[in-house]
Amino acid sequence: MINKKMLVFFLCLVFILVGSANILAEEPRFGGHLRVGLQSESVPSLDLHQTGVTITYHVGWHILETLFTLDEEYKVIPMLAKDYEVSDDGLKYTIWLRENVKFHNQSTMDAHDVVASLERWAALAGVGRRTLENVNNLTIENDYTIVFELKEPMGIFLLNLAIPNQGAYIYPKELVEEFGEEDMGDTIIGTGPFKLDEWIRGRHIQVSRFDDYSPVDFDATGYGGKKVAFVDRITFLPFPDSTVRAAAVETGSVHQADFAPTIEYQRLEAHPNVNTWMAGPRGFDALMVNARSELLSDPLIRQAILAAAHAEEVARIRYDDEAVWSLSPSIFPEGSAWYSEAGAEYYNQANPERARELLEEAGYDGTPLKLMTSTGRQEHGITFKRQLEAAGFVVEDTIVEWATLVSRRGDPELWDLYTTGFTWRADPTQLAFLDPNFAGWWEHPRKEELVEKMEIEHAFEKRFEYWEEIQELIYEDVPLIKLADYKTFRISHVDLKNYINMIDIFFWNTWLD
Amino acid sequence: MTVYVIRRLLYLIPIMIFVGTFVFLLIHIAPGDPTSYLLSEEATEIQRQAMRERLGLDQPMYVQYFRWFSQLIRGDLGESISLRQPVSQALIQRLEPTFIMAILALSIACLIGIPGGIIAALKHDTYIDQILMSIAMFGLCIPNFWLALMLALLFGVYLGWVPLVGYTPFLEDPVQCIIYLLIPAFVLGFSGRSAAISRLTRANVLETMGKDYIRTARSKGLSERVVIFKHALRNAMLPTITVIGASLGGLLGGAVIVENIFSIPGIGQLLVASVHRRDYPALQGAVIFVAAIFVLANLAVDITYVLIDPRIRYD
Repeated sequence: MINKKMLVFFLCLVFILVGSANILAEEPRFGGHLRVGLQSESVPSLDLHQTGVTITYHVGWHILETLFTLDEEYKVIPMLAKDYEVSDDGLKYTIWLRENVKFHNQSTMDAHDVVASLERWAALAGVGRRTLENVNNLTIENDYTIVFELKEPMGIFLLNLAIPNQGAYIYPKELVEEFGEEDMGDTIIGTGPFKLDEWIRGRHIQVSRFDDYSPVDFDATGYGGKKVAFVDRITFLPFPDSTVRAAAVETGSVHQADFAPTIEYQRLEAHPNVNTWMAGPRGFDALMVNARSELLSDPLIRQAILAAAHAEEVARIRYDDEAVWSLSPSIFPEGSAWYSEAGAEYYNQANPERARELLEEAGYDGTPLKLMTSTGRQEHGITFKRQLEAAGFVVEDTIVEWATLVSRRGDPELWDLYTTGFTWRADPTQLAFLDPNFAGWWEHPRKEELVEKMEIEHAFEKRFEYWEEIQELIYEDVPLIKLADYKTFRISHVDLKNYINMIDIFFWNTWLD
Repeated sequence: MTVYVIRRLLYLIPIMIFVGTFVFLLIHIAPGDPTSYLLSEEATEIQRQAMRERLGLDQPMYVQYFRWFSQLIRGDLGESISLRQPVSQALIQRLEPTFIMAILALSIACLIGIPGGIIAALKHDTYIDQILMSIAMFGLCIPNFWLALMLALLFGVYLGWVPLVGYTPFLEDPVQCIIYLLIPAFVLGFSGRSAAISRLTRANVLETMGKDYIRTARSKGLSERVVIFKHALRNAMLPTITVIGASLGGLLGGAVIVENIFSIPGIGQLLVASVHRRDYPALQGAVIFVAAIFVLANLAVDITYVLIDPRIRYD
């Protein structure tokens, strides 16, 4: 009995010691030069009003900041804003700014910088235009207070100010006046924890700690909260080849790399120098349906395609490791506030018999279904073609590279279905395929109505109700066929500490051992 | 000779115009445009159209062509759409790694190929000859991207002797620069180039060694060293030099693959990236540039002929 007690005591002691040793080992450390492997040979721009390409803000948001950002649950929290207030009718937003926030050129951020930046954002970014179009009056009440008077209530107003891709980043007013709508090139000045040192196109981008950075006064969470630049410098280096990118992390040439080769998942996971991360689901694979195609104007035929789709088979063939994908009927991933199983019975049916019945009912005459696939998603196209043929479709498939697909998808005559993917968004209203202008041209009066309601409504419960109905419609009207959710496989060197694995990468608050 | 060189240099102008026009047509005929790179996957057609208008890509093709051409004849290659810097500046920045790598690769190819070929010829039909020619065959057959990945794995990952990928500018740290480029240059030099050089050298030396003047030289009592180096080699080298000169073009082709694997910010990487991004000005500029190098390399080979073979004159 005593022995047992002693054993428990010693075990507790061991745990405490090991635990404290770990805590000691995890003690934050300043200094060091962090190197990050980028998947693309070059970054198109660091002027984040200009482009929404992921890689641009993965680098750029170390330098630039927005008024709001997203916490670990992807909810809106203030960043350059100190606080805000919304009037009861939802038409007036008062935003108070944090004081004594320094730009990298040592000037202090105030309302004039914010308004100039927001106006530029509205001129350059689609989401900016949609947001400010709904603003009747944008006034500067004093140096640290701005007031938006909206034309109509807008439930996603703050979210639009918080999103990272082509978001409402704040620049000094002088810079905005100097460049107008032109790209700022390497003259990127922001309020971020790092400032731009050097950008040699195709070779590297280097940022270093901004000593006068003023962080917010609450704990780090998600993309916001208190940001600390522990490392002295970060160099972003291009490694277009994924195998080489992974090897660079193994050898310590770089500390972190995104989009590691999934075929090497097992090996890298067992590697002593490497920590593996799965981020996401980042988004989902899909087949876009052409609403303007004559053949697909019959809802029965669209339902037949949905019945024939075997998402699991496609994922197994496309991805090398099961860790990378998962099946889910929800447009938003599990764990997200927007997760819903509405329409689940239509997902991953893998039912060619049902598809045949639907085709018979529709009186399908063997008109070829034009399936367009990009070279990056060949496995999708080939597998899906076989599934459709098993259901009795005649399929005419073409495989083209991405730039060609983007240009061809603009012409409704050229395709009936194309393979693509959609990345996760913080709000359903930001999903590209809900926009009737997006190639696929899904128009449905009820959908339009629901989206509009979602844009106006503030209360989450109500908005969720609308969203569930939209998701149901997606399975009934079939504007697209959702396949598997995919994750981003990323790896870091064991020396990189306190790495926070969110959908998007960032390196404030991480340090090097 | 001077007249000949000037004339050859003047040929550059029509060649570059022709090449530039050809590439312009080819890349503009290809579907897609730079918006697929500049905008996210989920951009709508309206956003793409707005971007096209900003870039002037909504203009008819002939308007774009004449705008580009009028810039070209003023010596302006335009501005890269994806890099947002003048194409000429981008090319100059990327010339250094490609140039150093090409020189290194050629040196490696010659250092392996020429002695290999000579030894194989002198020891022909022995096992040394067979071993050397087998190595040459191996180099000729092996795909350079595979060799590149294997060597990167061996020296970069397992042995850890050299940094895996990347680049340091020569002026910043010459030694580091060469270390970065050594394996890529070896891949380029060994696979294909050295093999071609050694096989050609062997064949030519063998042929020359059977010539009457070699027998005469030997019968004069000259040492074998003098016979081989002064009489045989100098005569046997002409075709080899042609191959070395022509190799430069092949090297630039190989650089496209090797630079992408080893993340070397050179012309090859720029070329590939520009095709994917439909960065018309950068691609046109890079191709014109490569064409000019090709022509100049051939000119250099022709001039070398004169230096090696006094019988050749360009009067």
